[in-house]
Amino acid sequence: MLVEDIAAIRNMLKRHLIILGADGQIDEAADGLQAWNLLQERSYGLIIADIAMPHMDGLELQRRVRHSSQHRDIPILLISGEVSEQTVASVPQSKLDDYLIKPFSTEAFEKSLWKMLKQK
Amino acid sequence: MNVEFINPFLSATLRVLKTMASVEARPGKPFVKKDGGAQGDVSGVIGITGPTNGSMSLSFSRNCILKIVASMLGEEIAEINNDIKDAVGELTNMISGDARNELGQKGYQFQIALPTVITGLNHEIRHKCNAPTIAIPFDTDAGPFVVEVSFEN
Repeated sequence: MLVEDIAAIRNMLKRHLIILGADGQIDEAADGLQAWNLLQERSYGLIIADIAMPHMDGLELQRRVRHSSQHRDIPILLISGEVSEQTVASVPQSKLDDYLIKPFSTEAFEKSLWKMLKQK
Repeated sequence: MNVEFINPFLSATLRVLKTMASVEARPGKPFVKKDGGAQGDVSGVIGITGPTNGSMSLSFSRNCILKIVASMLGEEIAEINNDIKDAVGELTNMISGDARNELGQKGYQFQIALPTVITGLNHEIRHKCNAPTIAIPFDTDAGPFVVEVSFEN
């Protein structure tokens, strides 16, 4: 699932995933709350979420997923335009979490995805 | 203004547009801007604080930003709508963030604020300080855009 409030960035991430060979359903959510609502209906193999979003940010979504008995093993790749110490300190709640700073290349995106999927 | 502050914004602009929007931008010759009028039809402005205070803006011609965001979205866009404004805000954010990282590696630790997006014919860009504004013109296959940087002395 892709969680990003900027439609243009969300679509760009989706294209990256398709280029990297992602098959199956890629659901999209415009904020953490929409993503959390989708998680009430089904589960996902991977969540890619922006940190700064309205209604519910990526860190709160990550916290809820890690505290959910049903979803806590889903890898989460958080993306951010900020490289602040606060971001770096708050992202890794488990080995299933990683983060990327925007802008990032397709190669960096692929590397992070493989690292996360291996942890699963 | 310290000229060392200009190049990180130039290279960040090239990097962000290439990696996030698949756009190859070609920089022109920087010049000192004399007035507050925007060079484009939609602009993003962001405040920057640190060893000195200033701001950066990104101002796109209508055709340029419509084509760039259409390419990112994978669908045609006919007018400057909220998707365009959101994308300009995000590009402003990413370029200033990337430049900030490069400035940090040079020993200048800056903080960036939240971007503001302005649209409309002949809109004005108000930089956060009264120092001279350096404008860097860029050209792309989709049309021109301008990056402006202004820092206190």
